[in-house]
Amino acid sequence: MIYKLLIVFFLFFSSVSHSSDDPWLIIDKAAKATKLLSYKGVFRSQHNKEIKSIEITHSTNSEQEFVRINVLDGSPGEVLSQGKTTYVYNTIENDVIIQKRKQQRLFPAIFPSDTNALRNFYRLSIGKTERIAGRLSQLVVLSPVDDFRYFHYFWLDKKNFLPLKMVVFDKAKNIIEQASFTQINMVKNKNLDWFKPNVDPSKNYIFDDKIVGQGIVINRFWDIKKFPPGFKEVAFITKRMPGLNILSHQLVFSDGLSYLSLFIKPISRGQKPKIGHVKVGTNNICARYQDGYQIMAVGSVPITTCNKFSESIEF
Amino acid sequence: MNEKLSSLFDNELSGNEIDRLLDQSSKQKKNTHWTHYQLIRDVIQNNHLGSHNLTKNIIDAIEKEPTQLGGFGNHKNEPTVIKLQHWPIAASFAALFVVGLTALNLDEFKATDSAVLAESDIPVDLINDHYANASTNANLFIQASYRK
Repeated sequence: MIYKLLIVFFLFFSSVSHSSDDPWLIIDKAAKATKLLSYKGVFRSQHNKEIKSIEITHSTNSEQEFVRINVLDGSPGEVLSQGKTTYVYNTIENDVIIQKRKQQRLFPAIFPSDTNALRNFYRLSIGKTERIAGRLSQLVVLSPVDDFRYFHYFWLDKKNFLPLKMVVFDKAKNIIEQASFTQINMVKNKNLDWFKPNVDPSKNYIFDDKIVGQGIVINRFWDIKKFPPGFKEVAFITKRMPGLNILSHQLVFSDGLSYLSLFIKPISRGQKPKIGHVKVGTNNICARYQDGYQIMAVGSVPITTCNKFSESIEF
Repeated sequence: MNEKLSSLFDNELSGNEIDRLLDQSSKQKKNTHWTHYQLIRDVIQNNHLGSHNLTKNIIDAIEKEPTQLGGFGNHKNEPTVIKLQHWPIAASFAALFVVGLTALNLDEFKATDSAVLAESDIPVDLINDHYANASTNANLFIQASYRK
């Protein structure tokens, strides 16, 4: 009896110590840090060859997140996000276009709320300690277990686990995307005076009624089969095709870190359907034609993933 | 002046200040700015109901309601209800007419040669729609999906 109790005791404590040693907990902590911490900083964001400085202010007040993102280089643009409501203020010449958008996972809040799914498709390894934006950070590498994903390098703040830097590499170690704080400060003041857009009285403010992501309820007349493991549908958008009274559809898939859009568009008269693959910037685009529909997969994902998705639609 | 207008819409001014501001504002013909501040306030407070001409927009939207081409044969499990009124039959003919007209504008039912995809075939809208809904980059997210 005593022997059995000892075994139960041992198993209990070994499981507790195992869970506390779980290296993936650092990703959970990073995901929580992006939601719970209040901070203000500037980061450099690179996509393809374009680099922009972006200012971000984030605060959590009464369990609701407030985010203001401000593009500092080139044409002004802002994002104001409160909870699940996100508005984009996009300056185009003399107009400021205000658009409502769906909530996004924008740097540094790049982790999904449930990080469990990542464990099946990425291997986690801990790297060196490095200084980023004057703060000590821990390098964490997520390496894909298959050819459907890219390598993700994260530098997490040693004190609070907030992602300070992110680099996405392909298999050949080419940089796909990167973002890195150049300065960041934790904010203790919960005042929300900053949560308003910069107003330029010389501009015309226009509310764009064409809400991005606005869905029209439809029957899904297709099946999606045999797409890469780990990816799940995270958004579905139906829009009217410009100039035609017919619908086109966009399905967004993600494995928690990478995103891919699958477009299903009817081919109009005189338009030749396209097939094959092309790379535009860091996006792979794969096209297929079936039963009057142009199917296109678009995303910063490996070509294998892009092809698999474009072939996954069946009518 | 503009800062005061902003404070007015945020309920941060006292009675006297409001009177003075309203007086100044009417003299300086700030009507356009008023509209802008009202719009921004409504958006921030999540009270914006769309454009001012809402009824016209709704009527326009109904008229432009698009036709879905796929999926018409996808109702195998739905129960069939037979009614003898004339209006559903007329409505069905009207619907068939609309679908027929739309189908005439499409190559869906014809064999079509396909061409190899080139970079010039990729419309900007396609990339923008992707970024608007699937980007981790704030700059791409902001710039995406607006056509004049």
